[in-house]
Amino acid sequence: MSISPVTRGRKRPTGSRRETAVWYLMRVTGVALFVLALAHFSILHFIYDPADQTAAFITDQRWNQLFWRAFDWTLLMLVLFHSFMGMRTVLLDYLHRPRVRLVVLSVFYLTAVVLFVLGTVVVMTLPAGSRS
Amino acid sequence: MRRYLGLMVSYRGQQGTWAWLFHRISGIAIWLFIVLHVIDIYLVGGDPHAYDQLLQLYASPIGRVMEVALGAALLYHALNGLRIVILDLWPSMTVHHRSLWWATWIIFLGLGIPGAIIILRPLWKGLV
Repeated sequence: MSISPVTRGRKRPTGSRRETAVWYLMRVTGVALFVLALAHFSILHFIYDPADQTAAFITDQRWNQLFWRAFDWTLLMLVLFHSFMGMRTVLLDYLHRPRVRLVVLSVFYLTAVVLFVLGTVVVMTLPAGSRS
Repeated sequence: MRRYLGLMVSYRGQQGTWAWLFHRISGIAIWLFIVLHVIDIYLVGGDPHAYDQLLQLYASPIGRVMEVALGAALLYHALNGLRIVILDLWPSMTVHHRSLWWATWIIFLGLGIPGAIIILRPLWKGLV
């Protein structure tokens, strides 16, 4: 994996269209997450305190509005893509034997799919609370 | 791994190596938290009582220190990521790359210190 001497980020890949697409998508999702993930963290850690965020808080105050469900689902998709593709770069840097790569990456991608399903199920099916 | 450690030892005096190392460490830490966070939110539907108990752990003094560490990792990764995007997409900004690096840290401390105080405040107010 070649690294830019200026940014110390990954250099834009040449040769593989798929790798080039991933490289751009990492930057696009990164900028989107800069806004959405920092907004999410600020709201739930500075405006609300974790001591107040019970399961009832989520059903009654967060997910009783379609806007926040849509916001959180968008965040889920962006963060799963960005974090798993980022971790993939890390894994490919350190795993060199083809068979080890295949096994580890298979389990790794399966984890991403399972998390996507779990997150989607809960954000779409959790009944809205009393104060909706 | 050894290749990168070797690179770090031999590559001195440039901010970029630290930027890369911190970006990687913070990224792995955030990835671990994402895995935990999707599972804990699933519990809101699956087992609300277990979720409430986990939240008490998050709100404890140790939980709050880890919360600050998570916030720091997130903020650094976001700011340094933006620096990478700026330099990747507008190579003419390269002449300012040193300024961008220091700007990253000024914004990190400027937002991070007040943020850490807000999160840790219940500790010295005796609320937890």
